[in-house]
Amino acid sequence: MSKLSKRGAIGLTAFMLASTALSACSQEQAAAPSAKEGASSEAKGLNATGFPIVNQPVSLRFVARKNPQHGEWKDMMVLQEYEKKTGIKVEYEVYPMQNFDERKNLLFASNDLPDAFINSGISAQEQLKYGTQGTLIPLEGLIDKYGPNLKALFEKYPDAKKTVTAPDGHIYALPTIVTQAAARTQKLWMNQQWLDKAGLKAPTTTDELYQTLKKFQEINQGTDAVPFAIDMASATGNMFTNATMRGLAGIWGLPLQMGTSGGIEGGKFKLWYDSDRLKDMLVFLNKLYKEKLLDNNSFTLDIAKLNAMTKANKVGMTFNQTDVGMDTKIFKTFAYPKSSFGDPVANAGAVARDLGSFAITNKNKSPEATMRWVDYFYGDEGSIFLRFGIEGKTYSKDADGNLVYSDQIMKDSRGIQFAIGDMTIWPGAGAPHVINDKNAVAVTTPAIMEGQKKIDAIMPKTVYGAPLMEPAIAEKYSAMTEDINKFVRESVSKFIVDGVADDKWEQYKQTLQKLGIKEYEGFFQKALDSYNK
Amino acid sequence: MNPSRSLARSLVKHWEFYALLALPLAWYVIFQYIPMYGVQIAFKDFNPVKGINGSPWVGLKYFQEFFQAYYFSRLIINTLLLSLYNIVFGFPIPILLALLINEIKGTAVKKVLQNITYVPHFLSVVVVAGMAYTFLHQDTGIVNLLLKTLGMEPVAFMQSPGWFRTVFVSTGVWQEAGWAAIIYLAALSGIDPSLYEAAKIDGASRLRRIWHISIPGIAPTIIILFILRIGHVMDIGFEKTLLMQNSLNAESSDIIQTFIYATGIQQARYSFTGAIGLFNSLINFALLIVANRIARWKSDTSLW
Repeated sequence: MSKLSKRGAIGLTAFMLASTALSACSQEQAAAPSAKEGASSEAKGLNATGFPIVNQPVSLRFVARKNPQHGEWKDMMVLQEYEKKTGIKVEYEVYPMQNFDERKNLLFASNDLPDAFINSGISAQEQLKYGTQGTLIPLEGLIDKYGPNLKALFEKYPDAKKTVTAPDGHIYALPTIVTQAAARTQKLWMNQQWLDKAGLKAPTTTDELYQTLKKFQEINQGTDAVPFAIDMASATGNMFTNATMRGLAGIWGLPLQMGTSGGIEGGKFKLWYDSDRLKDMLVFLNKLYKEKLLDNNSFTLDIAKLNAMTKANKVGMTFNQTDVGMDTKIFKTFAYPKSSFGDPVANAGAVARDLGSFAITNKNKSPEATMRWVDYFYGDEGSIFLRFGIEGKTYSKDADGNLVYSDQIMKDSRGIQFAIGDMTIWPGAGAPHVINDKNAVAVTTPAIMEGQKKIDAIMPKTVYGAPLMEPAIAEKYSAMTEDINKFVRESVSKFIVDGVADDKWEQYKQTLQKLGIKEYEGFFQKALDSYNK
Repeated sequence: MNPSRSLARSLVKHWEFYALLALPLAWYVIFQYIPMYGVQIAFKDFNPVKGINGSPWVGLKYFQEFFQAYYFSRLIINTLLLSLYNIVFGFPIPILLALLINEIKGTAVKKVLQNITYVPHFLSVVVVAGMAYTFLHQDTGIVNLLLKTLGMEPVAFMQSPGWFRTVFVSTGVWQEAGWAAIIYLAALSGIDPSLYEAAKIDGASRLRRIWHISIPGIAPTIIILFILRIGHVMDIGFEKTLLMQNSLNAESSDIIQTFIYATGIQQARYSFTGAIGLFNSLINFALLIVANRIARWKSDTSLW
């Protein structure tokens, strides 16, 4: 095993790179001129509007991430139908979610590129890196000419456009665009059954929340149910982007702007890693941990296990965007309680979510047709097609004109998300399309809409996603992100378990300075300034 | 005689042997030596589009970045300590186990014991890590249930930096000791039985016989295996470390390999991690040479 890991360290990268770099040079030269030729000859067979997109069949190779909810991509009804509709034959090279990032990086590193990446989660840094290298082509020109739906969305939601635009003015990848508010926020769900049993009303302050959890513990004495749990094992990267941590931060009024732990006030970006609000939150969590109101196994708990606990009605409170896998007769949504600082905030995701859902590479000989192919999903008609399939077959309209999935899907024993995942690509998030009030009703249940109403007032008006940093600072930014995220993750974990002693907190703040938190903050400020120019 | 002519003559005469040699030689060249060409990315600003040759040289920039990194000293200390514990506990136990099995008279008992101890070797590390999580779970794990019945406080084994190394090394010993003992058993079976008989007649006790016959008999094997082991000091089971790591025990479970994984594979910083990997290999290489020197100096056995 140790031998293997050694090769894994330098050998794997070195070998992959070495063996492929040799062939890459020759491939590149061959591809460059033909791309231009292809473009001109392609334009002839391309229809500017309507279907089919191309008159002569075109074949493309897409690399895709297979979410756990997905069936086999090649058997998905929606993709097969779309192929007939567009005349574009797409061969999907699919990698499972667990090792998709590794695969993606190796494809880029070895220059073994497909025509496009789909459902691919190409990070901001990767977009910039591969975009400026020329591996990913700029899309803004194509959007102007061949992407009417995207163009309209970007005009309506300029912050979405800002989020996906690189500092050099190019757009290298497309996000999922979420215009529905309920799809962007974490709702606070509490176990109504337990509340009734304890004879309590919903907590309105964090002190009341503590009392509620305490009662939850009492009424469940002797069972393995817990008042509250955090899926810390899933809180990788910036731990506050995790659903539960995001919700908790919201209670203490800690905003999440620009994809990180910071807020914007009067054009100034400020990180809150060293704020008193965070300290207060950690003191609170430590109290929960010590009294076992917070599951003491939280640090090895992942999202799948937490969902299983919720499903089994073994947890008293949880943050979740949807009610999937939850019994809504037991779990009800509530307004966020207030901390001693007042003003809670419902940390919403940016309108441009899941950056890097779709990107076109320089190997693609029909970028125009590819843009038309994906743009359809950003319109009403196309997004309904992507999410629901075919009317009469996989969905129908009810009396109010709402879209409902067929009985066969709704009654699938594996759960609706898996049934949908057999026919199309959106379950599990990350597919390039628009999620709006028209096409998301079937998944945004009345319970979710009700929860959204309770937090609508505390939702920030503008939410920026993670910015694309300038190439000059990109590498430093990415190294600092890694170090700071790691340090904060470990420190926060320790504070929750061991308590927040004043000298430890000072030490933590000093180390943050040492890690260059001010400079790091400046990177975001710079990106923000460029938005407001 | 002209040496090159004699080589040519020997080639023609024994071509069958050389043909047999060609395949393994080709394997080494293709899979072990040619890939070393890629090591240069540690000194370059590697850019996949430009390729290895086209990327600009940056000298020791990435080595410097690593040495100045905030986590540098922690990574080195964790890696060294974990490997030290691995050797201190992981290395002698298979020897003791082999001596023990060798002393058992009944063949049936011997076979059963040997099988039971080496079967865990075939388990995937994922399973072993899963077992550790299950058995050491704070509330429902069998170990903590036992502690509770004995009136002791349950311990968060998987969530404390203090316990990480113990759990890591002991699960490693459990999994690998039986397998590693096989080679010693083979060496033990090569010892002339007449030596034992002579000692028995002279009235040597069982422990005396182990001390004066068994151990000297397998000493060369022990030394060679030890030197080989030293050559992999910095390569600790990466997969298992990653599987057992969480934000609470990261203080002691964050090692060079997990750092390389998080930075290189997940963040695609190939040059930086290439430099760290190369640094790692250099330490291994230096330790191997030192261990070999000491072995040659102190005993007659050495790798070269």
